[in-house]
Amino acid sequence: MNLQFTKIEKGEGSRVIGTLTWGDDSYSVITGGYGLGEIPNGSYIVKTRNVAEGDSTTMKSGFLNPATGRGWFIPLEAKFNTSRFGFGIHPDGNLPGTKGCLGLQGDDIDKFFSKWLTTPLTSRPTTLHVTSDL
Amino acid sequence: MKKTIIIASFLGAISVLSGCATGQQSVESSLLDIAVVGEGKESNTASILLSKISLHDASLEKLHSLTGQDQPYAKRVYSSFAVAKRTQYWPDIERFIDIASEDPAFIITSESDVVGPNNDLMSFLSYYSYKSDKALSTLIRMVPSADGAVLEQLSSALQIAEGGDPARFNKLVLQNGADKTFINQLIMED
Repeated sequence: MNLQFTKIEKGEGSRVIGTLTWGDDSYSVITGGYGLGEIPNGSYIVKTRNVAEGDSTTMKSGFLNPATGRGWFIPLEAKFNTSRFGFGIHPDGNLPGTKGCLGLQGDDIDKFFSKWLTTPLTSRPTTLHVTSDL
Repeated sequence: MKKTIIIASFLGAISVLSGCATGQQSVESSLLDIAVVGEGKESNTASILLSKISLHDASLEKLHSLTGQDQPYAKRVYSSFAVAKRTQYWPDIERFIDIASEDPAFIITSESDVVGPNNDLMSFLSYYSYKSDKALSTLIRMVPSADGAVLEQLSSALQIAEGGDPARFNKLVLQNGADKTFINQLIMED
């Protein structure tokens, strides 16, 4: 099963709001707003074996769930030619928006990670497709 | 015959270039060997390092096989930690929490060569203590054995847990027969 991220509307500044879909579940996401902006459209490898978790002692506040003080980072690797790199899926802590990552919003942070925790490693999505309906 | 010799030479050259002929092992397999056959500090160190790199299924399965009751406690707790950290799969995380709860003092007194003031196993327990009463209880039960930087890290973890849900925290302090006055003092000092 793959992940699908669809950009659906422009947010404040250069932020882009969209929906991340995993099977029957969908999650609210913001990408961009800072740095070089939103994640480019295309396909990405979801690096399921390279996931890290942390708290304020090991991760910056932009990666932490404000509700729990816990964060995690699921790295992504573009399957296409691009000069952009370093993307991932993570809680959107601190101010809304990211430097290109997919920042999960509000209650969807825990909802997504709870599904991640209860899905065996070999059954987790290994591809993310990013498209735009803007 | 000549053709066979040429093919054999060619394959040999490729093996040397790729490192096969030198018996070069990957970081993953080298660490796994030490985690499996090593003892004490060496084995603990290897397991912590394995928890920080991406692992193949065969390595995860090998580490998982070290978590059974037939293995020494150190192997069980460190291997279950490495597996849980690499899979983030809740049954693996619960397995580590279960094993860690058997001997909280061991988590903070066992040694490794990994540098830094933070204890990786305690950090992992602390991370999931908001979801698991057993993980938080294990942290609370560590208090009498903790000192110095370990106590500093533990105080911080307890302060976060208390701030997140004071009623749950106080209930678990009571349930575990911990010294509430001392714990409150630790939390306030942090």
